[in-house]
Amino acid sequence: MLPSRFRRMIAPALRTLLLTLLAIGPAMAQGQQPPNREFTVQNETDLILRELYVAPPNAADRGPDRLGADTVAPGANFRVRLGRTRDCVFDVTAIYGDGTEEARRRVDLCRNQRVVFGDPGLPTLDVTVANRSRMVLRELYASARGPSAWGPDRLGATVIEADSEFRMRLRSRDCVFDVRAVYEDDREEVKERVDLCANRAITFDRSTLPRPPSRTLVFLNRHVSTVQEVYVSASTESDWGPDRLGTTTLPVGGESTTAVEGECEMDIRVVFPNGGAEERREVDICANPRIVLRPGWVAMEELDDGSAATSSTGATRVRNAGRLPVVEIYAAPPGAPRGEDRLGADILPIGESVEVGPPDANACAADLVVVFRDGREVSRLGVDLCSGEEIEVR
Amino acid sequence: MKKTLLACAITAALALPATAQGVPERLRGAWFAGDCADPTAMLVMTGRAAARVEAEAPARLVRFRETRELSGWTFATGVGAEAPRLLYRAADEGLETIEPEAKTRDDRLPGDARPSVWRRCPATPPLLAALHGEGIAFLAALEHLEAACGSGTPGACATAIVQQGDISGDSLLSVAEVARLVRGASWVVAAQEGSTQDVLFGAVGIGGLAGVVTARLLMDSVDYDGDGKISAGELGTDAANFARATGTPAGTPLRTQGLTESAGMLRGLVDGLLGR
Repeated sequence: MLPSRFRRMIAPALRTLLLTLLAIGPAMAQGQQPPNREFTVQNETDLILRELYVAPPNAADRGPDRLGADTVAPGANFRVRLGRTRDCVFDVTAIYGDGTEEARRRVDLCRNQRVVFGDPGLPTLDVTVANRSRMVLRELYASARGPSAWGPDRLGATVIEADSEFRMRLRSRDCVFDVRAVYEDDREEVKERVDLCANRAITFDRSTLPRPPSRTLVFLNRHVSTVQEVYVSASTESDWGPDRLGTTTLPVGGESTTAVEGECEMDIRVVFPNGGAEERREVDICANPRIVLRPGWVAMEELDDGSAATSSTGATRVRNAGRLPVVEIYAAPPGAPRGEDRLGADILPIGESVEVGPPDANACAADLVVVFRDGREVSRLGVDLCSGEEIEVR
Repeated sequence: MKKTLLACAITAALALPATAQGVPERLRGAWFAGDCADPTAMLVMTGRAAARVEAEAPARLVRFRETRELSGWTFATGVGAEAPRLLYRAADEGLETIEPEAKTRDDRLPGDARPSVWRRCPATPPLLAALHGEGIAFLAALEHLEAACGSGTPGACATAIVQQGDISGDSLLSVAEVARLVRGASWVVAAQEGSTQDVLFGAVGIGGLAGVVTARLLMDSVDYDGDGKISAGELGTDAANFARATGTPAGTPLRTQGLTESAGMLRGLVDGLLGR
């Protein structure tokens, strides 16, 4: 018991406090904060859960991605915090790595604080998929119900680089699957009825793909310089691929044969020892199995040898008898603009000659302009470029 | 094909006019790009030539045919079918150079090409010295030979050859001294062809392998007094014998090939020098 003197001292204060509490009690009850709403999302699918949206039913806007910069891996959980709200019922939408969506409508998060995507009762198959080809494997599909139901791309946003592996996770009671790989060049390889329960590894190496037709392409160097490197690749490809000459070079007057696999339309690039390069795109190598590399070949109508034809009709050669290299040669119909430099990236060294064909297959007359390295120009107007003569410039 | 190129290179090297201007004394010698302990490239300026070697890129040797002033630069044009060019000028305690693209016209130089910057180093890294020392020494010697052989003074050319090749100081050329000339000539020709460093090394190696054999064959054909050495008199008396001294190829194909090239090279050199 408190001493009576002390009771007398604090009694008024206690009375005041009690009255105050009685007065503000109802007000506090009326303004009570709503609870923090949280729930757990459980990813029991075999795909990465990339985005998650939680919004009131039928809301026009499903709000922000609740995962932010995170993702939910197959088999993993994620705690979603919605903040303070009295609302209980929401639509929960998941977007997977392959872009597919799955929605749970009108989920009562007050009564059930766990939302599961996928079936946790399904067994998990972890399969190692190896790409032993030289090409990037871009898409991967697995179906237990045949080719009509390939389902999502199991790689999502990733790819399997050449000579690399990927761990594919499947949630299924099935064991036998068709597995389909799509490569960077859009070609497909399918392994049918593979028992992934018995064998947890599968390899793609393009060995089952029908080989594309192989064509022989001949390069003749009629340039004034050795060709150091030659590249040929399909016009649809972004990479030039390997140097077709390997460790060798293609000397002036030389000939080189290379086997090219694929379609007819190819891009061709040649590199000279001085680092200069010439390219011609979308060459029909089926129609032109012989490519004569000569000054101006990148713009010439005729790519094939033509040497037989031109020698019989007498192709004209221009010889540099000057004391400096020739850096540009132009040959155009009389009176017409000069057109392209016939030497391309090349030069005509001192003492050497180069074949200069007529600007038009049906017209031999041309105005010839030769530019020496010091800028001096030598013109020969109205020359016959089919005469077979050698024109000496100095 | 290779032999033709070698002959061309030597012929071109000997075709220098005597009126070519020289590189100033203070700019001659070895210059380096990058760290002195591990330079990315080396540029050697002699009286009338510039040789650039680097680890990955082909070597470049420009033997100046003529030089002139161009907007604060010295514009040098080299010998050869492509008439290679080099612009150089002294910079702050260093040297700047521009090697124009083959297609660039002279009247558009120096243009906006970015100069290479070179500096002196306290010493040449041992590997570079081992790889290129004899070749650069021969390059410098060749300029002396060209000067002497172009003078027209009787006997001056043969004397100059002996002087430049003579290491021991006895005014005679021994087998080892002739072999050294062969190795140096191999380097110059390979550099003029734009060989990479490994090819330069190989050229000097093959030159060294066959150089001794070549030197012995030359010795046998020129050493009239049988003292095992070549004097200026013996060299000048019978240059034709020297030129025919390729002898009989022997040994493995590699050695025969190296021998033929080396002998042809020295034959071309001596023929060219004595015949001018």
